[in-house]
Amino acid sequence: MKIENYFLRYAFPCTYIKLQRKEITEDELQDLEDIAIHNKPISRKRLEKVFTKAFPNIDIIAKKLHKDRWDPELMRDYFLKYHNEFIENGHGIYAIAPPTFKDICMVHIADVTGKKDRFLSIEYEKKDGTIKKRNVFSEFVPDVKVGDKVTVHYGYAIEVVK
Amino acid sequence: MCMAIPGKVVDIKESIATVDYGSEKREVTIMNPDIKVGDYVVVQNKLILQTVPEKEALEAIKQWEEVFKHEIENKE
Repeated sequence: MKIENYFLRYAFPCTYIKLQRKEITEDELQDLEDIAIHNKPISRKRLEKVFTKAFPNIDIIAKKLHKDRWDPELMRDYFLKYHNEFIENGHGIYAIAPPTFKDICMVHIADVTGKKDRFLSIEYEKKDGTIKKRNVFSEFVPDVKVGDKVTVHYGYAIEVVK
Repeated sequence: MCMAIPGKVVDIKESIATVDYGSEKREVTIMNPDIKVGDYVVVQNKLILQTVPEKEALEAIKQWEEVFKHEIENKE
C-alpha cells in the first residue's frame, strides 16, 4: 500500500469530526472513503490540505528523527507509537480532554472477537488493565477473521497486524 | 489528532436512536442494547461507538465550545 493511502486510512475516522465541524462536505467525505477503501491514488497535497492538524505533529517527530514527513517508516511509527504519546502527554486539545475521549482517539491493537455484516467486535486491554470492548467498521480489513489482531482508531479497524 | 464531539440520545425507536448535538439532531444505529435515552454517546458513520459518562461529555462539549469561540474570534 502506498504511504498516502496508509496515512488516509489512519486519518480517515477524523473526517467525521471534520464533517460535524463543517470543515468538509458529505461529498468530500464519501470521496475520501472511496479512495481509502479501494486504495485509489490521492495526492500528498490534498491530504495535507484536509488533515491540517496531523502534519504539525508528524513534523515534530520527523524533525527529531531527521526524516521527511512522508517517510514510510516514520509514518508507521507515528500512528503506532507517537500519536498515542501526544494524546497521553496532553498535547494540544488533549491537554484537558476527558479520559474516554483520549482512549477512543488512541490507536489500539485489538483482538477481533466477532464479525457481522460491516461490523467487527473487538477488545483490547487498557493501560489500567481493564478490557475494553467496542464495535468498529470492517471496510478497511474485509478479509479479517475472528482471532486476528487489528489496529483500531475511533470506529474503524485500520489494518491487520501479526 | 482530533477529539470526538459527543451528543445526547433523545429518542430511541427499535434500533435507531436520535442524537442531539445542540445545533442539529442525527439518526444513528444502535448495536449495543444497553443504550438508553439520556445517554451521551460518540457516533461515527451513523454508528454509536460508545457511551460517555455525563461528566466527561459535558466537559468535552464545554471544551469544543471554547474552541469554536476562539476560532470565531480569530476570524473576526
